[in-house]
Amino acid sequence: MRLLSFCLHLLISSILPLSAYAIDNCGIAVKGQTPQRIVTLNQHSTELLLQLGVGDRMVGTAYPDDAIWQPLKAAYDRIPRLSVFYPTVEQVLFSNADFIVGGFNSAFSPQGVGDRHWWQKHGINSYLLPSNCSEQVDMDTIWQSIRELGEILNVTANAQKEIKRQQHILSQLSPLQNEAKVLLWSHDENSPYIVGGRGIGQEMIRLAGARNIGDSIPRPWGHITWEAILLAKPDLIIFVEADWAPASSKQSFIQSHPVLSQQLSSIPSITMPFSETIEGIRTAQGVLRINKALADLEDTR
Amino acid sequence: MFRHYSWPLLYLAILFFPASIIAGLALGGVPLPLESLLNILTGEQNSVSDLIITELRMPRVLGAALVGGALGLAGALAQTLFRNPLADPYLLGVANGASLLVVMHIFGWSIVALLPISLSAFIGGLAAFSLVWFCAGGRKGQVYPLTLTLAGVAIAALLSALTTLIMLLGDQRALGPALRWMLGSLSGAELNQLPFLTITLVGSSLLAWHRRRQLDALLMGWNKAQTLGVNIKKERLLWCGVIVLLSATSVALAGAVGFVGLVVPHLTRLLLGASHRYLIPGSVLIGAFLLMWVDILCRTLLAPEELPLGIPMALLAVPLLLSLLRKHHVH
Repeated sequence: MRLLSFCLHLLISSILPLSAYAIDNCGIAVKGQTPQRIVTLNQHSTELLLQLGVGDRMVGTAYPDDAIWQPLKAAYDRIPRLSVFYPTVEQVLFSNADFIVGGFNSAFSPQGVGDRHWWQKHGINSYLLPSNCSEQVDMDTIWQSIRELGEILNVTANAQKEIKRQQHILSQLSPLQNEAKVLLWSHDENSPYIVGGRGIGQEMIRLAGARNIGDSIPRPWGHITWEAILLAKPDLIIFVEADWAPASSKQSFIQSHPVLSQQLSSIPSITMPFSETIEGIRTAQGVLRINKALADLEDTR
Repeated sequence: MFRHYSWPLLYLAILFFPASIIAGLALGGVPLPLESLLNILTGEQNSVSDLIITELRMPRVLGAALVGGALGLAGALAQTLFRNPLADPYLLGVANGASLLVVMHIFGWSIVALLPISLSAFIGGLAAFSLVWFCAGGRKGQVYPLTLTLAGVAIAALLSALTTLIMLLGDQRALGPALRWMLGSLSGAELNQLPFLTITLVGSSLLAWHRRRQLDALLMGWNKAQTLGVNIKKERLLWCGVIVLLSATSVALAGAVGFVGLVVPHLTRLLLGASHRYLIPGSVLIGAFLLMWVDILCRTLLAPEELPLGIPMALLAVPLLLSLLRKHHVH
């Protein structure tokens, strides 16, 4: 069966040329033949490509943050995981990749797989999610990455379908009476690392109809003092859930602190998987989750 | 030098103390109303602002004063004991030992993960010193300043390499908290952690003051001091012990905040003179002031965000030291 499809593929590709693409991505002009052996770094880029239906063209994934999105699990398990963290350059070369998709800036740093220009010089193109190089990050940035990857991977119909799916989720948001204040806390108990004023987290809270108490931080995430949190009096606390930052340890820290337990344990809270707080295919779901929690809050008041 | 003015300067410093405490309570990541400050006197706790001042800021301000004083004193003692102006209290391996155990705690290694983080730091500091003392020939009783310094530096390098290894093997996303701890922070300070440090600091200061003449003698070299009647065997273990206790307790509370122990004794000498009569109370007071104001900067420079102690420490201490050096042309 595989041999037959391979021969058919050869036949068809010898008659019709493979589609080419040309995109300017984060300052690098990326163009070439449609990728056939893709390596994805970071979970949100992995999920994006799986959702676009190119799982059969992926030869390696790396650096998951938490459990892969359930609908994609079967396809994900079929692809070799190159590394728990970033793979080495040798690992990527041995996988015979012809294209690399990175989720965070660090993917193409010395701690990751190295500079994108180096890979390009050696005939391997790459794509970095544009949220890493845009001033303003919002849902349009996510849809831009979906469209561009759709063009590169020759799956424009799937890309359109995915954008429509996310827009449909956003159309289910309920309007809220009051603008509640939300704290979205990732990790670090002494100086909580929370969503800041620039970046997708801020945009998610805004779309859900609330105000982010960290919106004066001029970065996507930042450390804040407990003083500032207490004074801001959040109406909802969102604990991020990740293997490396479990929600339970944040919750038990608050419960056992003499001051914080008095002030904060009565505030309603929800947990949210880390993957829903960054730009990817689960962002719209994340917005809906926050919106639902706030709507429930309004109903109980 | 300021010899004639040393005592008036010290008295001024003591008077300035309450002003610094009030500043520490009033200034912070968020502006608070004046009445909250006044409510401390009456003991009322009506609003969140009152709570912030008494439960969050007060431990920090007191903690900063205690840690600054402890590290300042430990630094002065280290520089005297080792007769080395570049000595700091971490020369005996305390900070590296504490960092190793804290990193093991953060990355969930074995039994260390079950202990509270400050206890891990304290145990790590003491254990590292024991190793240094042993390597410097402590058991045989043949410890000299040079061997102790070299053993300290060597063990510190070893512990630092092990710490880095654990961090590299572990989840990179947990690196942030580990690095912030190593730069020092008072954001986790709680009132119940302060009594032990207070007793340690007061006890050590009184002991150092009582033995100030022996310390002055030590400055001339261990051999010369011995001819002056100082019991070297007793003194070196005593002062190593005091330095290690002060620094391990400070590191357990505030993380491995560096530079305080190095720069405070120099500032004190430049302002008040090198005799231990002034150096001891001076180092404690100047160390306390420096760290209190550094902590205020940590909370206000990038409000509402918070910086670790190490950054404003360098920003504040370096110009101070350089300007004093220029004025006094130290050889």
